[in-house]
Amino acid sequence: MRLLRCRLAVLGESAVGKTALIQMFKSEGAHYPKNYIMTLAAEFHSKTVQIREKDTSVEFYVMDLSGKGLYDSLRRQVLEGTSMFIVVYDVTNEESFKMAEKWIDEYNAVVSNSVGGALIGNKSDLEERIEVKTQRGQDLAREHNLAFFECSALRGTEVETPFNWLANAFLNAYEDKMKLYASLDKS
Amino acid sequence: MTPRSPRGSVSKPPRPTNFGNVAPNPLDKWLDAEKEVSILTATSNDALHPAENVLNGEEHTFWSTTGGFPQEIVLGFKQEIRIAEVRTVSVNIGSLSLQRVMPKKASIGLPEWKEVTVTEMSTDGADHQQVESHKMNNVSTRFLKIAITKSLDPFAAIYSIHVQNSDGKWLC
Repeated sequence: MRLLRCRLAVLGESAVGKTALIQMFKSEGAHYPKNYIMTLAAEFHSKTVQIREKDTSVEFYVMDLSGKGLYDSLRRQVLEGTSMFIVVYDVTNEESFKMAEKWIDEYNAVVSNSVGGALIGNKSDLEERIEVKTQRGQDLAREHNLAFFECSALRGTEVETPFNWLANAFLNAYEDKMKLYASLDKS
Repeated sequence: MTPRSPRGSVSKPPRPTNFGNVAPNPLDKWLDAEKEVSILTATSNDALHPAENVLNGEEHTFWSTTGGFPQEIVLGFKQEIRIAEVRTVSVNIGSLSLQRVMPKKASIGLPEWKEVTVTEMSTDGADHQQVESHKMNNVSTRFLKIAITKSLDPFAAIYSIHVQNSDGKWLC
């Protein structure tokens, strides 16, 4: 069994459901935080995703970063050590979608060599209040070369899919590098 | 009652053998007694790219780091040596810290590591092999830690580590 370790940043506006999404992923759907408690600065979680067909585990160190601007300077330090990222927006909140691009740009400005990331539209269960259609999310993700997912942390639908995708992308990036390294000669 | 020696003076308690300068370093048990240089431990362990690759003399095999930094590899020597120079062949390392265990210390608990030198690698050499020489000023140690503290990529690798002693002999 091979163990890879991936530091993952989770970004987005306040109250889009970053913490709820991470909690549901971490507890495999068992724990949805019923009361909203704003994340101060940053919280840290770890969770392993198994990729059985490749005999590999990807251990995620998930950095749940506050959406509040108050913590800008601290956020930069945390981002520097990460290899992948998720930007979350709320499909019922147009403003959170508009700001998603700012979060993508902020991540890419700090981490130039990331392995990749995903854009997630959360709260897909609130169908009657949707302000951001799926197509717009897909377009933004494609523009920035990110994977795109819609999920509902509340209902636990599609919560694990993005993390499984990230784990596979991380493993693919690792295997590509290993092939490259095996072919290098002394320069 | 305190035992007395035949001459009547108070005898000293037996000298503990498990600490002080005479005791073995806790790292000793990981050493391979047959080899001049052996790998004690490494922080990443992909069976396809194991730490032992840095000593096998092959140009295209390497020890890979599997995500996250710092990453460390520790070499142990058959006996205490004075290190003149260390050469590394690597890829995508940003900064490398070479550390030794302080001799005749740290025999209780964790070994005390002390940095001997730090090498900052060129940042424009991503995805190219880096051949670096690290001057070690003949410091003495039985253990050498090589720590990758910064990287140019989420994954870095070391192809080989060569250690020269103060007599000019390359041990590996």
